[in-house]
Amino acid sequence: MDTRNTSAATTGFDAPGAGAPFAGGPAEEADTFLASSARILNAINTVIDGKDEAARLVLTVLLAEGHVLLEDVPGVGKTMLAKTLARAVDCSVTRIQFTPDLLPSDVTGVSIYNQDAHRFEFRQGPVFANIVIGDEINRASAKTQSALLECMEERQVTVDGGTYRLAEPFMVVATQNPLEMEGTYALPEAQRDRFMARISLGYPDTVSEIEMLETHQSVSPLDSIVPVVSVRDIAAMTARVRDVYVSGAVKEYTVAIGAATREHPQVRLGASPRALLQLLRASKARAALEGRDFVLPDDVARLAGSVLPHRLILERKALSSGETPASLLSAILAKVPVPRPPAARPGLART
Amino acid sequence: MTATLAPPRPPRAGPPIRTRRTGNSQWLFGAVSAAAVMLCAMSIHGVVEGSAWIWPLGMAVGAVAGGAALARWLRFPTALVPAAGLAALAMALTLMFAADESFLGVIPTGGTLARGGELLAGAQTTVITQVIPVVPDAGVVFIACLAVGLVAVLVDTLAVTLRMPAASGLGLFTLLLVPAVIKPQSVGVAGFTAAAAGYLLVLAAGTWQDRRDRSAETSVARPTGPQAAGAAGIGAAALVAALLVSLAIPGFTTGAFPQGARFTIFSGSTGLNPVVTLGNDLRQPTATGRITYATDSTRPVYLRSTTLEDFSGSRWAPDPRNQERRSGISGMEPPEALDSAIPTDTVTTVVSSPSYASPWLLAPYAPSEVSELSGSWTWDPATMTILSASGSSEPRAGYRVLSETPVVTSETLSGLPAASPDSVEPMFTSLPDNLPQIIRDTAQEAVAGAETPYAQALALQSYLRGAQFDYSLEAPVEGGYDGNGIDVLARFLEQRSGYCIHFASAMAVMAREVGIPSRMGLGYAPGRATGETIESEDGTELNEFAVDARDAHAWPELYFEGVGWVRFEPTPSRGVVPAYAVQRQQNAASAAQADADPRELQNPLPAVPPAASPAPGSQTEALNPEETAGAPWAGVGIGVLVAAAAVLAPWAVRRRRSSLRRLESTRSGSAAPAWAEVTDLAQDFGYRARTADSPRSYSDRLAVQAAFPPPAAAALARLRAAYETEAYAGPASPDRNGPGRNPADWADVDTLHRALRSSVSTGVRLRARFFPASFLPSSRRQADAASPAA
Repeated sequence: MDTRNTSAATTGFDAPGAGAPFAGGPAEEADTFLASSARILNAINTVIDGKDEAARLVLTVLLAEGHVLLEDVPGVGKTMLAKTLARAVDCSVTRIQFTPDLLPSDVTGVSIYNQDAHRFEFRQGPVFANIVIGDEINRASAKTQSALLECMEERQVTVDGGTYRLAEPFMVVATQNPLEMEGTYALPEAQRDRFMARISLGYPDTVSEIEMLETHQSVSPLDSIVPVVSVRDIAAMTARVRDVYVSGAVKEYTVAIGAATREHPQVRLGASPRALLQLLRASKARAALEGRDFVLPDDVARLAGSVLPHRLILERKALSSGETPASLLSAILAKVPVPRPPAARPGLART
Repeated sequence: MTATLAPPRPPRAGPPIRTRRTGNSQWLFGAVSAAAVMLCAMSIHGVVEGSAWIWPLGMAVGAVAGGAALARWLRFPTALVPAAGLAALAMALTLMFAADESFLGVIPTGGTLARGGELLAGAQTTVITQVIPVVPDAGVVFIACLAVGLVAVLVDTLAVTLRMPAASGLGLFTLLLVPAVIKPQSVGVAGFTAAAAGYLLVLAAGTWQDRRDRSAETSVARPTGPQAAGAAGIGAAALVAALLVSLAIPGFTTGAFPQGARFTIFSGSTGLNPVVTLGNDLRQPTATGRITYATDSTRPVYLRSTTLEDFSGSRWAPDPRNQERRSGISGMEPPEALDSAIPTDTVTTVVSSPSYASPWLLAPYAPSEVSELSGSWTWDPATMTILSASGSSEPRAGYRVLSETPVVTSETLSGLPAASPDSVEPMFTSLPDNLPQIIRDTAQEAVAGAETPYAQALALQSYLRGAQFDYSLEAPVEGGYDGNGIDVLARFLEQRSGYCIHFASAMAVMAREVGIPSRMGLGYAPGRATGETIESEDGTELNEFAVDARDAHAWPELYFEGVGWVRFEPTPSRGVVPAYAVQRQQNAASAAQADADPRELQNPLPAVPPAASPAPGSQTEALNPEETAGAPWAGVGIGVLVAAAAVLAPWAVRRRRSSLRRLESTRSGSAAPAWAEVTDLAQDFGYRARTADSPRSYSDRLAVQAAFPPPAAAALARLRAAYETEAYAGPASPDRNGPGRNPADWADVDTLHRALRSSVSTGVRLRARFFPASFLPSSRRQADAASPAA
């Protein structure tokens, strides 16, 4: 817990409750929310050292009812993070190891003829779970990828004319290796767009790495993780996130960021409306995680770096000059003015 | 006072809440109070001559109102607003009256104070020596501007700054006090109406403001039309009632300060030495001391009270000559000097002087018999003056004087030789040894070429009546040579401006200088016909004339061998030049002037007597200060002021903005103005905000860059949280309106201001104060910010 707080201060996250206190019923609700989220983060932190930011992002996406794409080189703990999150929540978890020969039915499930009953029966695939870990998703064929992505978007599976709803909550935590690795199929843009956020874990710092070496010596810390929240808790938290207020100024700001990505000369494909919707949803989750019931422009700006870059396609020239979507987005964020709410505009203040 | 007028507010920590008029309305109220003061000051009209004093007065009042309004606009502490008004008054007075003695025309210096002292002393002299309406010379206008300006400060403070419009009547009342005490008509209907209108204006403005405040705070707009009409009706009714009541009551006609009485130590025209009060009498604006006389004389009648013949003590003085006086006025002998060969006209005059209190009896020259008069009287055969034996100076109701007026013609006089020194007493010829040379020179110059005494006398008279001399009641006062001394005479001949006493004594002294015996007659110049007639005992009709204090006069009487004492008239525009004293060479205008009695043509109560014409230069100096020597300096001063205003404008605007935010923040608990102030302050101290900065990103960076101590960092966090809640939280959020609301505290802003100030160098501090970055429009500032977000 201490570790988390310390890192929160340095990463710009407020400690929960730093905002105005809540009162009455909403206050209890908020306390429950904060306590639950703290338990989840704590659990993740016992397994993944020094990745607090990533852990919070994953939780943010979970609460915002999105899906997350963990992208990094092998061996930095992508799968571990996904597993830990799944383990911390008392819910059904499945894991799909994507390989080039994986078929869509391996993901969604198949209809099998039951000879006794003389009819086809649908056997649910691994996607029928609350948290689905799609490992190395870019190693599968496009067809299989599409099957999963359809599930992500529709939250249902249609096989042989039958439609089957997926569990609630439903979250796909996909991991993928960077594109330059061998034997991978890059996700199409449309499918990347369905992931709310892309998280890059990065290598742990020295201290965390040493700690990791010690704790992971004999026994996997994952084994010690017990579920800390229930599915119902998650549902309540999700509901609370939906109620977070977004002011007009923040909406303006979000739209302004989206417009800026579309108009940027070095960007071929900017942020889609769906991207902005997801950005705002994620911002609401972040606000709730910080104990607020309203979204700040800072939430949007902070999450834009995780929500938008994987959707941007740069011009060839920009790529050749060393620009990355993340660097361009930083430049855009530095230019888009934060709209002031009407009451705070100078000159309009009345006595 | 403000606390009682304003609705109670929740107690809050931090500096005391200052409520004051805000926005543009306070300028309006300043203007209203200034207008009220000026309206009341209109009643000064009649106390001060003319209307040219209005502009300096308006400048002074306007400066006070402007200074105070500016101070309020800049949100000075309440106590400093009157000080600002006073400073503005001082600057306005300096500019108008002592621009050349000041620093840059407007900044008072030691010399300015000295000038002020001189002006005050001059005004004191004016007040002592003049009666209303006083000439608006520099001193009078100065003192009027000073007094009215101070009243304006008082009224402005009460009505606008302290919002006690009703109490401002106190200040306005003091303005009315002056004309009420001094003016014979008191304040008058017009003045009272103007003052009442001004007061009602102030009250109306105050009521309007109060109502506006109340409706703004309770959000209840109330109908104003019927109330305003009702208030106007009540005010008008009160005004009418006050006017009617003032008409009904008798007023102050007696007592310590009867209306029209002059508040001077020389008041009245009594005493043995009437010279002292002659000038004052002349300056009487109204018909006080009215004397009527009815006469059958065909020539203008000079009522003579006494003569001044003793010039030995370097000052004209009457010589009672008690040893020579004879008692019994029923049958007086003809004057000793009058040659029996000179024919005389017998003139009957009935004099009624109910308000003339003097031991000397008024009588036309030369009285031979006085009847219908009680008391014992003595007369002097040499001067033919009649003096009460008991020294009584009671007014006389009506007495009959028979006088033998010598019929003198120029032919009679022209052939006369110089009088032998023995023919008159030495008292009539003696001159002091220390007679200034200018008198001797002037006399010789004036009579050059004239052989006979008569020609010399005419030469002297025409010299004094010449164009180079002008008649002025004030010039001797201002020039400091009012009086009848020998040095006064010398000054008069230099300045060539004075009134009858100067002309008469000058002619008398110069006549003695050239060898003609002389004395001065005192009394009254011919008055105005009243149109009434009185039937005398023998059935002839006597035409009635009236004189009053303003007709008080002095004239020289010169002695001619064989004819006796002959009156001359050297005073321009006063009296009547006797036919024998009219020079044949004189132009037609002078002759016409000699023949016609100028006073006959005048209104019995002239509104502006010629006596009140201002002394040359004084008025223009007072009213057009910028055209005097101080003009270039004044221009420089105004330029410097404008430059200073331009230099201080950013500071002033910034300060005002800050004050408005403080007021709004403390009033509503709103965090937006507090946060705006903090961000502006931080920018002032060089912590630039970027375009893309959110409140949080900016405050995070600011706390690190400025290395805030924990209290300041906490204050910043509090303010930021309050602002974020206010700006971004939903309307239903408990943070916004519920118990979780955390209103912004201006003390946090002050804390941050101190922390910011201590975080930068002195240069940055000065720049922050006098050229704050936040003075620029925010769009400009944002354009300046270029570096990308961290």
